[in-house]
Amino acid sequence: MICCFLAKTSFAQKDQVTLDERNKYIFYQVVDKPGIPADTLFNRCFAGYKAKYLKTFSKIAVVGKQSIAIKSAFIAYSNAGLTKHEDGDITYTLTAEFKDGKYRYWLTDFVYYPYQRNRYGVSERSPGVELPLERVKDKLGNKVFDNYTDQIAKAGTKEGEDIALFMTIPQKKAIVTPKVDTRKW
Amino acid sequence: MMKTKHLLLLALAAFTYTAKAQDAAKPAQADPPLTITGSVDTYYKYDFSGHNNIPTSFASDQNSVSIGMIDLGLKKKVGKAAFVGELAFGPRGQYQSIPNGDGAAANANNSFHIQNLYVSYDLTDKFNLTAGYMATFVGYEVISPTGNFNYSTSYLFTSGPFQNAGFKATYAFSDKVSLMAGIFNDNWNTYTANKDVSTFGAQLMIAPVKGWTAYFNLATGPSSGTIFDLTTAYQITDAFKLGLNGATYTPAHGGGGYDGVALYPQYGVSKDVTLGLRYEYFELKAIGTTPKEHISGLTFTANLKAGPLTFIPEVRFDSWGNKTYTSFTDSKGLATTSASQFSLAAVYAF
Repeated sequence: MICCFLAKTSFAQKDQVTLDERNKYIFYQVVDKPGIPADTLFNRCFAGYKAKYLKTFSKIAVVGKQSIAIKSAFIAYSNAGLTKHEDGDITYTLTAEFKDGKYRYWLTDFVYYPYQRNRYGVSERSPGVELPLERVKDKLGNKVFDNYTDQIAKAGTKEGEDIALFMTIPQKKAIVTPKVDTRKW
Repeated sequence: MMKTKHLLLLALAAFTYTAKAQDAAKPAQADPPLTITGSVDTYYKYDFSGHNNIPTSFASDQNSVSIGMIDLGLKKKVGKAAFVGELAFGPRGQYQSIPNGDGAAANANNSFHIQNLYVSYDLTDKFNLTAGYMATFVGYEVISPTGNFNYSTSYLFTSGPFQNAGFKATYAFSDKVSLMAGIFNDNWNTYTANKDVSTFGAQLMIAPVKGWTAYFNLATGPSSGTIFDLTTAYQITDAFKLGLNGATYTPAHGGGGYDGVALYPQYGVSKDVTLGLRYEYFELKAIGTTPKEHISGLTFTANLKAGPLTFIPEVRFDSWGNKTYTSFTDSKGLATTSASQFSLAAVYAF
């Protein structure tokens, strides 16, 4: 019964990765936040991501006050055998957009970079080899594809949890220090 | 005026997004789990003369189903600090690739089984320090069968360093350029320095275009001599890859040394089948009254993948330049300039 439950959960997770109108794989969520204006949602999300990525490689791009885009990545692990090891990394673009009372976010443009073990015993990208997720099934098979989309769904869920947390943190109002203008008296 | 300013800002943001979107994204810095990797390999080899001729580093048993090694690597990173420990058991992983003991008489028959043992620390996300006993940074081919396309090894590999113990610093200027410099024990392939830490090593890595990386390597010291090496590989299309290795070595004393070049074209016929060739020209430099000698080798190899298992059938033809210095003998035991062998290996990587 536990196995069935775990299997069902796993299937449900990777089913969250679907094709969009461009025939690109996407993890897409819309979240309601009634009563909160778009500007506030944007500011909280932006502040949250600035703090999160302060010390890592990812870059944040902002267009107006309606959209945040981030290029990020996670390490994809093999699920074959007894040991877990790094198969490669998967890059993606995370985009978040905001309206009064709701926001949406999606992960797309997934590209898989396979790893090879180098002479020093560590895994690194195979130079010049990259696979858009749309080609992974044909090149690597269903099992590998299912494994990676499951991990993508988990990454998307984690991003969603992060954004949800950012939305709960109100922005501190700037403290205005009173000043005397000696030119007016 | 305000409208123009907004438009300019939007354009700048869009440009910034485009420019930054082109940067290579790197995985987020969560601590990875302890990873265990490794391989096992076994082979059969037959030299058509009926006895061993071609002096490769591994796969040395004639007309025998033999073993290479069990290779086990552990790696863990926490924050900025990491370690790698790699052990190997079997002919390939012991006396054929690593020294027995530390040179002390008491350890003459005592293999430490250590292929890699080092710690590293990321001072910044571009600057890394590493110290310990490490696989050499020089050369195209490596000890692990999972790192080579061909199962037999080149003369350049056999003649060059296998390990360099020392301390090195690596700075990644960008994804396209990095520089390593370090100091290593006086001799190659030893766990302990004979006298001092006096080999200077450096490596410049450049990746001029996507899929093409080149390493310019230098190791030089008053005991180890000087080796210049170029190792490069270009994944020209999804199916075709071309590799090149060239090196020149001069010992610290006494003259001699070698020059060599090897070319490695490979073609992926399908996702599970790749065909490759290695052509090598290797020359021993003149020393004293002994003139220079050269040997060339042509190796045809296939990699047939079945998940983590790779079958490697291979045929190799080597030829000395002159019968006066050949080391090959034919089936009757008479000196001959050419030798050939067939091998079939199975390598399981995990």
